Amino acid sequence: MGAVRQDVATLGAGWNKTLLNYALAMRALDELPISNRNSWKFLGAMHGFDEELWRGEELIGTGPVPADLTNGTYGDQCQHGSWYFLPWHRGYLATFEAIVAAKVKELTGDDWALPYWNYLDASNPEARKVPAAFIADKLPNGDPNPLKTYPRRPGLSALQPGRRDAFSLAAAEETDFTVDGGIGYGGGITGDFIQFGNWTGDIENNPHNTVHRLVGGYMTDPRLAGLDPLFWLHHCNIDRMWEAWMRAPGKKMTRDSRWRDGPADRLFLMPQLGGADPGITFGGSDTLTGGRFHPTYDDLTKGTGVVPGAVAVARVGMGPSHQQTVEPIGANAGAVSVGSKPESSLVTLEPQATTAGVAAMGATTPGAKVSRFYLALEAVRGQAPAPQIDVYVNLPEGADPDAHPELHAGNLTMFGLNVASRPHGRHAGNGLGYTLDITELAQRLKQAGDFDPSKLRVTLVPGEHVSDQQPITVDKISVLKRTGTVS
Amino acid sequence: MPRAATLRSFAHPPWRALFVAAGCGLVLSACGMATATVPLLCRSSAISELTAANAADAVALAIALNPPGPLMAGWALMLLAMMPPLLAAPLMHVWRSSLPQRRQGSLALFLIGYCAVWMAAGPPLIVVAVALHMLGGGSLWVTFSLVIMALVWSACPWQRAMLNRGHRQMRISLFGWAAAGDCVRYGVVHAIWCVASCWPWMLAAVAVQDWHLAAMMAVGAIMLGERLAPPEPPRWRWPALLRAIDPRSARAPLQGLLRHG
Ligand SMILES: [Cu+2]
Repeated sequence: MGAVRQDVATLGAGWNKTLLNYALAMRALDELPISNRNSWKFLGAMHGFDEELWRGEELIGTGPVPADLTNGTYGDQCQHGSWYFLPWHRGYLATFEAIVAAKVKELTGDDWALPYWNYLDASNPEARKVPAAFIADKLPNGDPNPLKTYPRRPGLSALQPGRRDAFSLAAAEETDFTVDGGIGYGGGITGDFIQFGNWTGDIENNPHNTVHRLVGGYMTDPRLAGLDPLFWLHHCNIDRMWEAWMRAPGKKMTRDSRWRDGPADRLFLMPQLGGADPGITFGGSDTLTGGRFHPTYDDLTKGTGVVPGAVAVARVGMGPSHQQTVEPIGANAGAVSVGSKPESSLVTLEPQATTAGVAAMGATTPGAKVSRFYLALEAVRGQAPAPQIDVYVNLPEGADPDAHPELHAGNLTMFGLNVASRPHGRHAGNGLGYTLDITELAQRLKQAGDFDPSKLRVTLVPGEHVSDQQPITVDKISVLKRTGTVS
Repeated sequence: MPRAATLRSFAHPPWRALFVAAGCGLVLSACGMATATVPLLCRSSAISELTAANAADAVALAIALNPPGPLMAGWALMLLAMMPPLLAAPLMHVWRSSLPQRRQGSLALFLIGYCAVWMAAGPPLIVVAVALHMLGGGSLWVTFSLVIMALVWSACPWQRAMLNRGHRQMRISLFGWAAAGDCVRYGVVHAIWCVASCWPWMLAAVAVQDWHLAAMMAVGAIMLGERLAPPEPPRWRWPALLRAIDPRSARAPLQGLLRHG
């Protein structure tokens, strides 16, 4: 590695050297057969693979599929909905970068590092624009542009989030990588074999999932997303946000051996340069400082939501992650299905636990008990690859959601929901789980005198890719109380 | 490295408690072995004489001569010795899905549902084991054949499909009777998939003549390994036991061998 990853916006307009080299290398790698472990398609299939889908999309011919992709080794590895999301993708990025850089070297003699797409950089008014090279029809020499080979949202030229879309740096406010029970920056605990960790981390939902949906096309489906060359610039930025977050004071990265070692039941596996056996196996610790996959970025401040070295003041610490507790204090009565119309569900709360939590909500005195509230959507299932919903609390019946931004609990893009809902997939059909921090919302309700400690009304408003034909179901909506000690 | 990581993971809750429970089951099984195991039941001389003449009568006699109480107690201890580690994931799901003050009760209700199904599965498995021993004259070949059958079962797509279903979590309500009912229901449904995916191994364990304790431990470990393997689309594959012995076999696609050869 060693090469410094830079903001794509700083590399020069149009066909700058980095992106031109990227295009040339991609073209060469995409001409290799999928059986080659360094080919573009093999690299994409390592994220997600589905023989039927790939044949349908004419990505592979009629020949046999390499065993590597279906035997539980290289193929279909992507980790979502758990604390392995960030480290697995970091190893994946580094492997990809090394292969592309070697190809660039071979073709042009230049050095190459993967650039990042800094779409949330407030200091750059053009930040959300797709770099021109990815949407140009032709290379400078008039050849077809490989960087626009694979489909995206029609006419895409910039990320255009809706008013309520989760497209912000809010995840950076979270202080803990993982708090057992479904809360945290990086995702829920899974020892892999302990399959209850189906929890999406804050950074994974916003902005990661949102960007997948906004780019559209192949990027909405984890089984195809890795084929879009924009995927890599997007993930590079997510990876940079994680690096910045880890280095900010007050942020608690996990030290759990299950995270550091990687999953116990199936190793993360990356191909070597050239693809020879054995591949490279790794765990979380290989992605941290000193590890073989640890990257270097030119900047960790712009568009990351944190300033390395500067103390964040937004939120009080809640003590060591493993000493915090998460417990359910409320739940609705049954599964909810959302099609083309909003659906509401009453969440009954346990009044004593709720009242105690409300009292400890705003604590700031060191040593005092402090609580936060979360809305949890458990075992969400659906057939669309990246459906979107908005979640509201105590929205009056029949009210226009847009008129009540103060009751908006959050916006979810459920990237990979189709894959996580397959009964015989890696998630065993358990779907995905999400937690939304509603502490500030609860405080607002309390101040407005609209907080009833015995119940909440939750309304799910369908967004993109949710319809009566492709509804989503939520097995259970619950309220979680997280408790810690002000630190 | 994966196996070292697995072992380290066992240091986290709820594994320790579950292994302790299994250990108690093993010790109690060892103590109770004198009275109530299938092998002993087959060895009484009257029965072996009958066996040669009329197998069906022998099976009937063997069952009739042995009071079901101790036999079922032996079966219960066997379950205690082998099943607790298999329940880590569902127990944690029940625990997390319950109000803190109800968690113990929720676990108990789940276990009642789970055990009810396995206890019901006991008599048929025991009868079959006895019958096989009668027919096979108590030879080692019976045990050997049952192990081979269990290995084939572990390689087949149906077993994978049932293991996958066993990984499916169910909604657990938070309050009142709904919560209690959900816990029992989850226990029953989970046990049904558990029985469906591991009955050949349990049959083999029941039928082992000597080294009964060792057999229980070995089969328990095999079933745990199968339970820990990640869900995947059902297809022919090398059984978990062989993959554990030689990890390279995981890479040779059994599916392909079967399809082309
Ligand atoms: Cu992604």
